[in-house]
Amino acid sequence: MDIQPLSESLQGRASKLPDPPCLKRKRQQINSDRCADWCLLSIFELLCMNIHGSFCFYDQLLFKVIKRSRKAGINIKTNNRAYLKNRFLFFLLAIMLIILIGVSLSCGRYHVPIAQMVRILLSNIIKLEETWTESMYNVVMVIRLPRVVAAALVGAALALSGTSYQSVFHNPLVSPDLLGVSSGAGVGASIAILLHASSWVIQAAAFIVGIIAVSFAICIARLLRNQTNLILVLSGVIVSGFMSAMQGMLKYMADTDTELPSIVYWLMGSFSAVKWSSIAIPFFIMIIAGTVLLLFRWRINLLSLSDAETRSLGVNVSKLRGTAIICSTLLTACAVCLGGTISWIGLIIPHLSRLLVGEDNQSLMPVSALLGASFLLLVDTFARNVSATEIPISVLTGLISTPIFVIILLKKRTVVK
Amino acid sequence: MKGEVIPILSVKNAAFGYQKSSPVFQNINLSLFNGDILTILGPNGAGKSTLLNCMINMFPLWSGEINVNGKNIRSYSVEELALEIAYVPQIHMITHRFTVRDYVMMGRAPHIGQIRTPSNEDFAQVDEALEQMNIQHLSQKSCINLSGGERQQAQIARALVQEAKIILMDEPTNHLDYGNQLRILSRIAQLAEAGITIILTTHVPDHAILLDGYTGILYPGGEMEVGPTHEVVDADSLGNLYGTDMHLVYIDEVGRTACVAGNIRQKPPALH
Repeated sequence: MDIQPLSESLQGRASKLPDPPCLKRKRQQINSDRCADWCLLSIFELLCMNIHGSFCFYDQLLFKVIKRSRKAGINIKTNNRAYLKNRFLFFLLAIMLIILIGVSLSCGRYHVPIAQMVRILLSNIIKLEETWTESMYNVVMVIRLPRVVAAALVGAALALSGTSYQSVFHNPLVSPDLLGVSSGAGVGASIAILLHASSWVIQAAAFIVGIIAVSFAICIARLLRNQTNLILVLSGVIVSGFMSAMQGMLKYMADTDTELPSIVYWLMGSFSAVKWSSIAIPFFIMIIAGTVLLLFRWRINLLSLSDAETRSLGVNVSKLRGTAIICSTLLTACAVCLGGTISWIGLIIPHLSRLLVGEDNQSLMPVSALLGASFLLLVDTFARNVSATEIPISVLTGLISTPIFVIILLKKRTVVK
Repeated sequence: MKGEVIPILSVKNAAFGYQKSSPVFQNINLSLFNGDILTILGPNGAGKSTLLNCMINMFPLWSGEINVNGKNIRSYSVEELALEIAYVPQIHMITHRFTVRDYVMMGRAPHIGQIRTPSNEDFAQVDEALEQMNIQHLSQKSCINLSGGERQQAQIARALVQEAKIILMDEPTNHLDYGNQLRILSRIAQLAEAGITIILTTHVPDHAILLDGYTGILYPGGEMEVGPTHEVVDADSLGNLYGTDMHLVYIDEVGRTACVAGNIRQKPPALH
């Protein structure tokens, strides 16, 4: 309900700007920006596909350096060669993310030159001479920065929880909403929208019902006294089914002029309503859950073995699996309550990362998180720049991810051969 | 078996079953010392794997106790037990794509802290185990692309880096070709010489004779007969166990007794 007016009022404020020369430039700027975005997107896709190849090259180079230095009498510790290589990739991806954040902050309906944008950001830390207008400051600090932070965080969270779910459930085709978080959150948000609650309540309802849905799935598995993966997946399917039925009913009950569009709009995902106040709590939960997952990242490898094997390695399987599931669920629930249901990220980014760094979660999880952040940030920047009205995120992620998925599968096939 | 010394592994009057009425095994007694090999023979479904699973504390016993170093395994925590007993499961479809090195590294889990990642020493140890099993050339290969023999070697390497004194192996020679079966057996013999206690299950009586340690024959009724191989393994008990005609023959060329099956046809084949 109040998502739409809010974003419009914010954007309205941005377009009712006092200085006309800037406005005149703006139109030309939009076109060139759009071109730049297209280019960036295709570069990103190419990069992801080619990074693997260039990586093999880098690996060979590293190998040669080590060989040479051995001949010269210098002994480099090669135990962690694969790890070293992945650290380089991590570094590369971090730089990519920072560049993307910069681009995303300066692109938009109201263009802020990069130099000004950097100065505005820095002015929060050190004292700088004001060379920017107040509206520039507002656009960057009040409208775009929270949105950029939210998009990056949600992307990272979804990719991270997707990676850990795929490890926990021994299945590469699992996405983070397997246990019903997303459908539950959708129901929660719909109820709140039907009750004409404020955006803050919508967010909270989405989070709570999402968590309740997962708890139900786990309870069903407990009720059956069977903690195996198969039963968990089945109870996830049951809960998701129930929640989508609820969703259907709520949609049917909704007023077709006001409430239904809001629900549909929410379900398709968007970051236009994001404010500093709305990201504060999810931000902390995400940071904590993400840190725990990253700390346990090597242990999560062990869950890929059979339960008896994992146990014989001295691991308390149900505790470790529980930790992984709880953290991933919290991450996903926060992501959903910030940006609505965003599909595909949790499935495709782990696959892409696996292609780059292999199966070992020690490198896979950080790389996956960074790649997810960059990807969603790019998609969001694209979504708000490509046309006069915003394109829903899920539509874009679906459109972009499916072809990438086909390419990944093709690539994997050749790897296996 | 060895006087007053505490056995590294002992089982007393153990009984277990999945359903209340029918025990899988009962009244099992055995004790093993450093470097002993126990080969468990038994028909399909006799409960060999279940017995091994009980030894790693997967299922609680109905009665009796299993002691490691004189201490009941129920009083060990999961982490502590993993430092004593390593478990090599049956070869099954591997669904993950970990490299062999990463896979073997998982065996270091009991030595690596909860939120730690492997250190350089861990990597060195893994590389050493790979060398010991003669599979160092596979270290960067994905587990999914390994042959059965290579996979088994990787699993044993994983058990080695666990640095446990006891290794349980569930049918380590299954699905392997004849040469690989013998190579794995000779590895097992080497490990036992190095002081590791090994319990393995197998379907081939000859393997028990080749390994020549102790043999346990697990009958379908749940009773197990344990003793030195040359005492326990004889034609009658094997014939009983498998319900076929079995013969133990001394073969001069190899200087050992071999287990040979009788004729599988009811009548001698007609001469055409």
